[in-house]
Amino acid sequence: MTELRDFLDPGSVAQLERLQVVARKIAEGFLRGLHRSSARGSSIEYAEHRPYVPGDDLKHLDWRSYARTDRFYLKQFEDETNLRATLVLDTSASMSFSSGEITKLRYASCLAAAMAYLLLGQRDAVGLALAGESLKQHIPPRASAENLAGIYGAMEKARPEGRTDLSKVLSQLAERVDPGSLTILISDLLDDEQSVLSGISQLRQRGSEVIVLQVLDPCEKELPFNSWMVLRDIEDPSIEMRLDARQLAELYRENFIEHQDAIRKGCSAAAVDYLCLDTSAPFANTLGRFLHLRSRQR
Amino acid sequence: MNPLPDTFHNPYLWPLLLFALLPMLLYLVDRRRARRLDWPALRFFLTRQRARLRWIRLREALLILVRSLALFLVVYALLGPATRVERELSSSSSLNRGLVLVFDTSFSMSYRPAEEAGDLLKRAKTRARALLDELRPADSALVVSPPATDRTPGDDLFDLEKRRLELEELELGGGPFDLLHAIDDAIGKAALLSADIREIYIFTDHQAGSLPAKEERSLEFLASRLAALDPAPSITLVDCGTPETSNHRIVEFESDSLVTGTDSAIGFHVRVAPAPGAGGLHLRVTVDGEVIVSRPLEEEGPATRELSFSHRFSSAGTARVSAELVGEGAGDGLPGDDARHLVIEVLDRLEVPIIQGSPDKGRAGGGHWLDLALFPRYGEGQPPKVIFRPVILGSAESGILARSRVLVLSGIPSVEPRELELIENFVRRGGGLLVFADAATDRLFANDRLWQEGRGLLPAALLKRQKSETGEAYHPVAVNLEHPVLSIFKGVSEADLGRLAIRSYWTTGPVKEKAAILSRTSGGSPWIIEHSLSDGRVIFFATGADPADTDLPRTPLFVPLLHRLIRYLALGPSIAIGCNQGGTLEVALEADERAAEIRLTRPNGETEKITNSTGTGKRGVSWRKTTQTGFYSFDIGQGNSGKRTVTLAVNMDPAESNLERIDADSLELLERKLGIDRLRHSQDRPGLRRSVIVELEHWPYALLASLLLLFCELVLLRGFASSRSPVPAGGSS
Repeated sequence: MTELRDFLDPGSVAQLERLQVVARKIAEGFLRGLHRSSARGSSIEYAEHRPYVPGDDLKHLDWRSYARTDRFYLKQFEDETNLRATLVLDTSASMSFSSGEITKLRYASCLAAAMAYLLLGQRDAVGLALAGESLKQHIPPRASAENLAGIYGAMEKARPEGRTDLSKVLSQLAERVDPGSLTILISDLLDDEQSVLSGISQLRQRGSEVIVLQVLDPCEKELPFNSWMVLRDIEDPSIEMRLDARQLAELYRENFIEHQDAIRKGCSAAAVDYLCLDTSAPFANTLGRFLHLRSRQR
Repeated sequence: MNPLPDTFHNPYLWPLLLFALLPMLLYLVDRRRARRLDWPALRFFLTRQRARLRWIRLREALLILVRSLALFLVVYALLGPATRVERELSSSSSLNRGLVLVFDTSFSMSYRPAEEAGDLLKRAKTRARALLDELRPADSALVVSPPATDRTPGDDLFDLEKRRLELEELELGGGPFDLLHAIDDAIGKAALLSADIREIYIFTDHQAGSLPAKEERSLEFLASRLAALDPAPSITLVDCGTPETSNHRIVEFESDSLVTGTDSAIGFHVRVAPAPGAGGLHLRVTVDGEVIVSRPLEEEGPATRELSFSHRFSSAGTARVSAELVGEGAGDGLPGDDARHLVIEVLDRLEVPIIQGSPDKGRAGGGHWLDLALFPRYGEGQPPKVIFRPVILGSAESGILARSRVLVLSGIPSVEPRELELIENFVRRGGGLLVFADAATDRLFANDRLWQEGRGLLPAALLKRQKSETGEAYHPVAVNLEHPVLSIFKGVSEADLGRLAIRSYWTTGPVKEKAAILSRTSGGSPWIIEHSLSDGRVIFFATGADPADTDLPRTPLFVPLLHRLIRYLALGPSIAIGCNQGGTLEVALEADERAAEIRLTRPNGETEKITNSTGTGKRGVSWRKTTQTGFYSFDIGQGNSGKRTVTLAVNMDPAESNLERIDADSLELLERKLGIDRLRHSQDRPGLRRSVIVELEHWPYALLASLLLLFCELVLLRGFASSRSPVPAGGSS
């Protein structure tokens, strides 16, 4: 029997086909894990109880508390304001890379699906934007199950292809988002950092909060090879290079770190939250970190 | 200084240079095995690091180059390259010297240049003396005259006074001079000198005969010997000869035989090489001082002229025959080769023992026919003037054999083992044996005791008696008319020989390997066979000497044939008695002479009594002091108060009298291969070297350069990395 914790493991998740299922499993699994550890403060389900007073909506009565305590309490949700969040999913060819059981796109999709599920669970409106060389698809944020299904369907149909031009995508998106909304960019960010930061700043200028989740494969942060390799760029197959991985590993790693530092600093300067994610990291950790960021924003 | 090395001490390591290609090969092999992979961050990486990548590629190429070069330098160092550099020696230099002075004491050095009082050896000594005078007390020296016996130098190496004495005592008589052997020997002697500077000086007249035909391998061997020494000795060839020599000489003087009879003449042959432009020369031949031939030599003519003449000696004994160049202009710088001498033994009587079995009843045996043919004395008139005196014997007698030169076996009688041993020893010591195999020959005895499976007196085994049954006799065929004996049948007599009837003969088995078949029968089997047994010769006839087997004894052919056979076997060509100038004269002594007094008379007339200390050995006399050419007479007193005189001739070695000089090409080869210095002008006086050739080893520099290159590699490898500061890994904000 599939255990709940399995859905928190990216490898296992990858085996499941439907994002809808995946999202629910991940989210519920995450939440139950939170319950077990009784870690408060990060729950988005509800923040506290308050005693029932006549006239309150019975829909929010916590029957379990009543069962335990013989008293009526109302569940009070943290956030009763409608947040409009847009998940921006990078579907360029580079997201198809995988050195293990799950591609970056699949990981990002699962993560995005789980996030969408959780957001909707909090009655936030959630939308989707598929990014590539341009904005491939945009589902405006809505707080409805149908919208969520549409988001799932769009993510499932998305194929990693084409090059990455986040600047263009984000500037296109900036024209569509509302001030005060939340944009969650899930991408490997393998593009010129200035270009990425420029797009992010446009969103910020529109008044949108931005969270950047950089999804990377553990291998692509380094050149984990001990011989000569002929590497061909996934996004532009015409670019090919024969190199000695042993000679260039150091340079490559430093280059990556430089790039990440630049993005981190840029995000920090733009008051944008940034997370670097590894496709081998369990979703629970990732979701936990995301929610921590979310809670800081409130 | 030439940066390129002059030599490599370990040239066999050249193949190791291939290791210098190893870095390049590994790079290429590694590169070819590259895996293909789609990579997400390549474009991103290339865009950011294009300049750095170019530098990295360049660095990689430099690394390969540096590694290859470093390997190359290591192997180069292992090859042991060195450059010879000449460094000046100051007069106050503290370096001590070791000299090896090598002298050519062959008789060509007895040449006296017209302008000097002494000979070439004296000239050599003068120059060597000058070198010794330049030495200091701390220096050492050796005086060598090949073929000197091996001498292990002792503490007297530094006794320069002793060296001077040895120099003065040097004499001619060292035998032919071989320059390469002399250099080889000198290198060995130089190795024994512990000095800072080693020098070899070779004093020679540069005679062409002293340097054999270009032997590059020998020179390479000598070069390697030189290189193995540290310090390596320098070699200076001091030319003590003269570029232009005027020397006429008798190159060769031979006779047809060194033993002859008073009954016939023998031929003499002289080869003369007069000096160009020498006029008034005569060739004079004397016998015991009496002129028998005197012929003028024309001034113009070929370089070498041949003259032949014959002479019949009228009295028995030892004849001293000399061929000399006399007359106006005869004196030249090398008188020793102006005459050559021969000792001829003249016999007026030659006993020819004929051993035969008992003749058949009613028929004279072969010995009878041989007797008559050798010394026809029956009939009216005076017996012919031949020296042969046949003696028919029933068995071999040691006394007769001791004074005979030839023995005839008529038939092959069964002789006692002791007699057989006498006969065999007689032949082995140089005696001649003539064998006629007739019907009475005991085949089994002959094969068992005389053939002995090829080790005995006979040249082939006897198989069976072959008779002409149809009445048609056999005849001689395939006669070797070039043989000295059978050559008399050339012309008219050849036909007579071909008609000779052979009625019966012995067939033989395969002849010995070195035996010569002089004639066959028309039946195919050999008729006359000659072979040698140690110093003696044997001629075998497969027929008897009587008319039972052939008509030969009844024909006019028999007498001349037999006479020539006997002369050939008894008086034929023999080894010259005597030796070359500087050699050793050997005289065998009889048992009763070993304690006798021996007096020697030299060519110049001086006499000397030979005592045990001066040469008398147990079985003979060996006399080594043969610097004079001419006749040496040994008067040996005998036990019964008699006296025996042995006369031997000493002549200059023809090779020594050829004063042709070593050609320029050969000398340049020596210079090139061994680094020999030559003093080209014979008047130059050599001084000690003012400079020394030092071998500058390249290997320390090569290794140092290799280390520097490895340091460069480290710099290349680390310099790039150290230029970047450490950066923390990416994480959450």
